[in-house]
Amino acid sequence: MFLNNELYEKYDLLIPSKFEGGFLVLALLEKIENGELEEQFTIVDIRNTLNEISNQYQQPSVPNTERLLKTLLHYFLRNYAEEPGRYYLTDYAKSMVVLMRNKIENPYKNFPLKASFEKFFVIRFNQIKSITDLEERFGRIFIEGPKKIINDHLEALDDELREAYGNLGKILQADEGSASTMVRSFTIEFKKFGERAEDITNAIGTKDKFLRELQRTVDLFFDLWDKFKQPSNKEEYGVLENLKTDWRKSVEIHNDITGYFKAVDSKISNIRRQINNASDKLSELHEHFTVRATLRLQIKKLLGVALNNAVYHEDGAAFTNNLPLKSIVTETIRLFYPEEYDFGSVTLNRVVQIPADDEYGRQEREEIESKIKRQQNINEWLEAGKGLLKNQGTLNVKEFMETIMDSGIDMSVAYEVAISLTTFASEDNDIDIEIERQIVILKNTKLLLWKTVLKQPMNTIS
Amino acid sequence: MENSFKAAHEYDFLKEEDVEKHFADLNISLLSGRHIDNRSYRLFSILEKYEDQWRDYFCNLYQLSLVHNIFDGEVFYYLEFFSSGKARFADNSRHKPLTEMQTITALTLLDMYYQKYFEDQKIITWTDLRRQIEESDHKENYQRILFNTIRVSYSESEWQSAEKKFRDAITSFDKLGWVVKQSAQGEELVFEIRPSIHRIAGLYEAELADFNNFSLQLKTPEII
Repeated sequence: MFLNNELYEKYDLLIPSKFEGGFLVLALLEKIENGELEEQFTIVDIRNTLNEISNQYQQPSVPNTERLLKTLLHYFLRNYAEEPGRYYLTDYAKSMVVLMRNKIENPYKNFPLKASFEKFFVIRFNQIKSITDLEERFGRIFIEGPKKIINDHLEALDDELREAYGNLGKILQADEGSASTMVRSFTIEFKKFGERAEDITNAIGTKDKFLRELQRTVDLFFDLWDKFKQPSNKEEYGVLENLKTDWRKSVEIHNDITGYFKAVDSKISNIRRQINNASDKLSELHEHFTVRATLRLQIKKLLGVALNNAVYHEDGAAFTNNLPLKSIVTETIRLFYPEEYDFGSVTLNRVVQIPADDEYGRQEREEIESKIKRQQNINEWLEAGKGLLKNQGTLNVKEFMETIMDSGIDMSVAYEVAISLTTFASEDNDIDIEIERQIVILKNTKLLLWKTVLKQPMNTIS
Repeated sequence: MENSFKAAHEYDFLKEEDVEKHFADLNISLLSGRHIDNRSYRLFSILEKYEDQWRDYFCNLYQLSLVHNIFDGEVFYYLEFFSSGKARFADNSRHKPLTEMQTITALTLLDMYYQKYFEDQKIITWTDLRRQIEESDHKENYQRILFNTIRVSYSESEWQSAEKKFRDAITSFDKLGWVVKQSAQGEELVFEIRPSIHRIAGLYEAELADFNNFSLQLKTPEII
């Protein structure tokens, strides 16, 4: 996994920590630049500087000079050959410090991006006459420096914006101060964003123009190759082959630079998005400043209350003092697992209204009414029969049936009455049923029956 | 009879192709408490397109209110009980209270949302959370709650257990749509806080409206 083992092993020597020589190198270079020390300095200078560092940063003790020298002599310090006991800082030491300073105070910070683009990525008229010209100008090795400068530039921009976000955040977090002073502080920070956004827009314009021109140059090399006449001898074949190689080289350069600009584009769009987002937020803040600040303050307080009321619990935390817990809708979704899911939507049956059939209703009603009427008749005649039996002590079934039929009621009713009356008589022990084996015929019917007389002895008649 | 025909007509949108295709996802997501914003673009656009019909659907069939909320310029939808129907809270199968750890985490994240207010995406890592525990104004409270003791430093296993507590809460918020988790299991915790985290403030709306009274009430049991 770790390919460059040497780098890992020597890391502490390459970047010593702050009290192990790191600060010493920074301080020595600063003193040399200020003229306090000469380029070559002595062990006494080193000791003094170490003492100063320890005092400044309130260290409990001054580190051992010999031990530090041993570390720093690997990469940061050298003995001066002609004057033993004198030392000087190596180029590595100086470049390390410059690198750190540049990260903090990027030199491109105040240099517009557009200017860098124009300086390095431009093709002037008649500048590219041969593939050598193109390679010398934009070949992979030659363009590496300018690429790095643009990258440093973008990094500086990104750092600057990050710093501005930090400042904005601090302004927002500060609970004091009136809304108007806050907005003023925001506006100062945002001025930076505005300038950067404009610079980026200009730079992109320059870059697009350059890429178009580069494409045109590539096309030119293609044309030279494409339009070369059909070769007729070895020399001409050689020329044609060279033209083809030239075009291929130009395509390679083009691909390398477009690839690089793609990366640049994504960085730029990221920065632009951040700028736009921050600008949106500013305009929003103008409108909602007070409301939002109040809300933010309330939330801070609520968080404070929640934390104050919480105690340790193995699984998380627990609230004391009845701090209310809030609920979120969670319907239990029950999924059953049928063997087959039927996802086809089922069309529900609609209720069909059938209009009332009056004729059918009337017939049914008549039938029901006639049945009720018939039942009523049966009951009436049954009662009448019982009355006769009671009053007269005897009842001739044949005659009684004929009387019923004479009153205009059909035979089935008379028959039902006779049966019911006979059943009634058989259930009552006081009534005798006298049946003679003599067939009688009911008049106007085909009905034959035994001559039957129901008798109730007179002493049982009340 | 007339009413049932009318109701059938109102649910016709469920037969639209885009709705039918994503119905199960959307229905289950919302009913399980999820907050849907335009990160879940398909579901969000279907909700937006048939917003009124969905509102009727959830109101009539579940007695739940579909809420359209805006915070920090972003719309998000979620389901809420009608204020008159609070009795339904008695039915445990229909709601789930946030745990204490979830509540603390949500309020912390809402506070952090404001710390990153000017950034386009509010990306938070475990390192950021750890900084809250080690350096914020509330560091002592955090340490007391997470480690049960306040010390200068904590062992690796203590940090792991604290991280797990946050990770569990963040995972549940990912399901609720309050954050979008970007890290996989076993990786350092990285997630984006969505504007819907503001719902936690909405849940404590009544307490926030009369904050002084609320904090006084909390102190009472301690005095007794």
